[in-house]
Amino acid sequence: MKAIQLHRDLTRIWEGEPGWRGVLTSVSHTDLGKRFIIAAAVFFGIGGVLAMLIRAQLATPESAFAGPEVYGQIFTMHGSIMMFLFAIPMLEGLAIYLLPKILGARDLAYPRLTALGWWCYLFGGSIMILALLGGVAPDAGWFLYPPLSGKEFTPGVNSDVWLLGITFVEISAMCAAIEIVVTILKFRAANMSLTRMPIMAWYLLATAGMMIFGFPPLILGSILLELERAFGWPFFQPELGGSPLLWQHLFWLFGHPEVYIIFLPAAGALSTIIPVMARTPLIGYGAIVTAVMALAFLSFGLWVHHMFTTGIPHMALGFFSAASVLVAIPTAVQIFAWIGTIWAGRPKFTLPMYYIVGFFIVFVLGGLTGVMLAIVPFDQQAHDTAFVTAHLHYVLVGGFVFPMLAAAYYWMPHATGRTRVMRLGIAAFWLILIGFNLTFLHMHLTGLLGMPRRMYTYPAEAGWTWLNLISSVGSFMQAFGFGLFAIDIALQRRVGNRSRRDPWNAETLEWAMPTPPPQYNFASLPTVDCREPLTRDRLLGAGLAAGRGLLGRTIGHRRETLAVDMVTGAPEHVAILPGPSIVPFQTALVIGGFFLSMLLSLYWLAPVFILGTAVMVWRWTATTGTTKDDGPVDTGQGDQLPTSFAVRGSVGYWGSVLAIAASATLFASLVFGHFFLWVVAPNWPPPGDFGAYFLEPALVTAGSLLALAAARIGARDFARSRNGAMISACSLALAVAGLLIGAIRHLPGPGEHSFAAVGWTLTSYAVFSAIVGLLAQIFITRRIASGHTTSDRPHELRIAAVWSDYGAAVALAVAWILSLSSASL
Amino acid sequence: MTALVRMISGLVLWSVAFAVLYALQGLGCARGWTEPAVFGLTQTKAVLLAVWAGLIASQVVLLLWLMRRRDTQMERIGIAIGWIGLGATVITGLPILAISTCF
Repeated sequence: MKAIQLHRDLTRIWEGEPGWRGVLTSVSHTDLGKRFIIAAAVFFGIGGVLAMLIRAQLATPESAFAGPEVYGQIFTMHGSIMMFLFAIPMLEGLAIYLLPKILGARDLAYPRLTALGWWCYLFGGSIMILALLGGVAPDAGWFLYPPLSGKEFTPGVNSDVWLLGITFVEISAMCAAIEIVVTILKFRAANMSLTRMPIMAWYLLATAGMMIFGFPPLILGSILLELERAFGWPFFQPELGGSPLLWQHLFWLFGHPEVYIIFLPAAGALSTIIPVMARTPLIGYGAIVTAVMALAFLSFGLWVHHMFTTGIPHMALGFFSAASVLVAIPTAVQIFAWIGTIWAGRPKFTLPMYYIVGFFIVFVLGGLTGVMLAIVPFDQQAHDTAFVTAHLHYVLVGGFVFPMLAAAYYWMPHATGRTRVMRLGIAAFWLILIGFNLTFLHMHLTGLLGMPRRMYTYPAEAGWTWLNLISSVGSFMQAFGFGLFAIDIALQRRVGNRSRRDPWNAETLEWAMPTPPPQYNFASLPTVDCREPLTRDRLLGAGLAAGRGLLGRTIGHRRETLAVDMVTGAPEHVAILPGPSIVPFQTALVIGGFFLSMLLSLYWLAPVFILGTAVMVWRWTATTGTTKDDGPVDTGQGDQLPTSFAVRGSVGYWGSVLAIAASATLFASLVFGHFFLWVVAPNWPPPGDFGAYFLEPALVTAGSLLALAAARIGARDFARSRNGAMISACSLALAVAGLLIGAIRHLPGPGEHSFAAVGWTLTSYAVFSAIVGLLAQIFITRRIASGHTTSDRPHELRIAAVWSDYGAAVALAVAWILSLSSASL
Repeated sequence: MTALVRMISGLVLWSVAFAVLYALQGLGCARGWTEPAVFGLTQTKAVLLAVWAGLIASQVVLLLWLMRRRDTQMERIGIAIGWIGLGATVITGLPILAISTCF
């Protein structure tokens, strides 16, 4: 009876609002994870239709099906949709749905941020699709190289749609990345040390870490190209000191890690599913964690292998070629660990295993051609041919799509609580596997015979006709396979029989809850002492449902989950999470307003939406926290823990640290761009008189150092915190003034030369960062006045300090970079 | 957090090494530091060799430091990552020995 009452109370606390308002206000990770997955699948369908159009066009020579303008939009949107609207959001959806469940938590670290990410993804993706329907979709290839994507060669809005739409979607990726890292490090089951985590969590930790450092260069590149297109700031125009190679560096600094960002979560799914299907523990847990970390780092040393034909000196090519070959080793470690696990166990040849076998075949072939392309002379022969198209599809379909299909069948009983109804999945598997290889295997040959990628037609005399025809037949076979898969999944969702809990006899915590899962995941939270808690205790789920774990009680309407020590997993505090809110939806709408005003060239309107976003963020943060001291709370097992309001290392602090790490990566990329253009680009130095200036940098230095000191003193001593915050805010205002005066007095107009364009961008970034810090300190003074921040609830002081510290540090750095650069010209 | 940073330190140092070598090579070539300096080596190549040797030595020192503690699995993974960092620094720097600097 107590257990039923507990479930009723938890349902009351965790359920969303009813009706359409509930759709807009939901912050449930289960609902939002499913929305991400379904939307990504829909985008995959759209991208798949575009692929069919490509193959219809190329099936015969001199085809009249589509002209070059339309074909440009088709292949650009196919690539862009598959990379940005399908692969990344699909892995985000999987992580959002699964992560709290495998870690033994009730929700993610920032439920409202999850919702914001969802709306940004939906709105950004919709802009892209509407542009496609309107015939103004991007058409310069999915990596949008200037000068082709610049105003001169793409005068319409096509490139703007890509730059603004994708950047809008990237907000979602950054939200998810921060969310995933903090959730893994803080929201785990009691005593789940890092090395007791399910292997999937390691993969997602590495992936999210890579996203935090990998996406900002692309976001920066998109901002710079949009500034060039909209306002004529010449970052990529050689005649004005720019260089199109800067775009390639920024794009591939993101683009190559992106391949591993896509692959790693899929590999995590494989490392989770294979031991269950093989009925034996995963071989080489430590070796796999090592390999995953190696991949996460080494993959950042490969980006120039997309630029082997751009004239970069051979020694530099050698660095990247060596790293590109090296990265095969940690990949192979995982492959052998999986093969060893299957070998050591008693594998069941269930449907997920079919797709896992498909993965092995396809991905290993893609990996081998990857090693071939890592060798500079070979790459120079095969560059921009159909060989590369074949290779990338082997890697991405093998390394992501096949594992995701296995994952879909593996976790469908969890999401729906139902079993499969027919054998359609096996037919779908064979159609996809055979169709895929029929499409792409001999495309390697097509490429070696000289067919360039992205050409809209070819002459019959080229000798590529029969190869292209077979590819087109194979692609349609694949499409039927994916169609059958979709029908199979829909049938399972609608008419499948009820599944028992944990139908696979799995090892991880997501199977220790009722299926489909309730909004609160666990009625009480587990304590673990090994990596396979369900293998150790098959009745764990029943015990948790009966309230025999931690927090197996409710307090008012409070959403609670456990926060632990990052490394040991020792319980640290009880995190209080926010409930349904319309604010994320409204914030996404305001951000969307900014992107649309830029897209429609209503530049005068864009600042209004920037201001609106600041207001929304203020409103967002103002609705958190409490003015009551509850003291430590009972965990339900006799222990007392503080709440998240009373600790210094709250998830808000760690999220801020990671957001600043991402922002600092963008800043570092911009500084790299500044020196890259200076050293490499033609037409330097810029025309005009430059010289040393020190007055304004001195002003910025004074403001920044004072802001740093005041914030430090305030964060350390609550009695002086309000004055400290005021002084810090005023000092940052002084730094902002110094930055602006310095730029106005000493920089030429941003359209005159790339030096000035980068200088104004650096100044704008520093002003923005300092204003964020300034607002954080003003916010703190309000919170102290309202009683939210007290000596017993000091965590917001620390959060504000980290933002103002960063603003001050950036202002200081930019002031001196520009001053010293000017002196050196 | 410190334990996690310690665990990945070998690869963090490799990242620094890789960025430094690539930046020095680019800077040397762009600035035209191609005159023979010592032992018939150009200025850029001599600097690259010296820096590469220093980075390898740093990786060795880091590895020795990591190997002082191997009680937990994270510490053992950290040692493995230290070896990877050392190996990757050696291998990705090998082109300095074999390939002309600026062509």
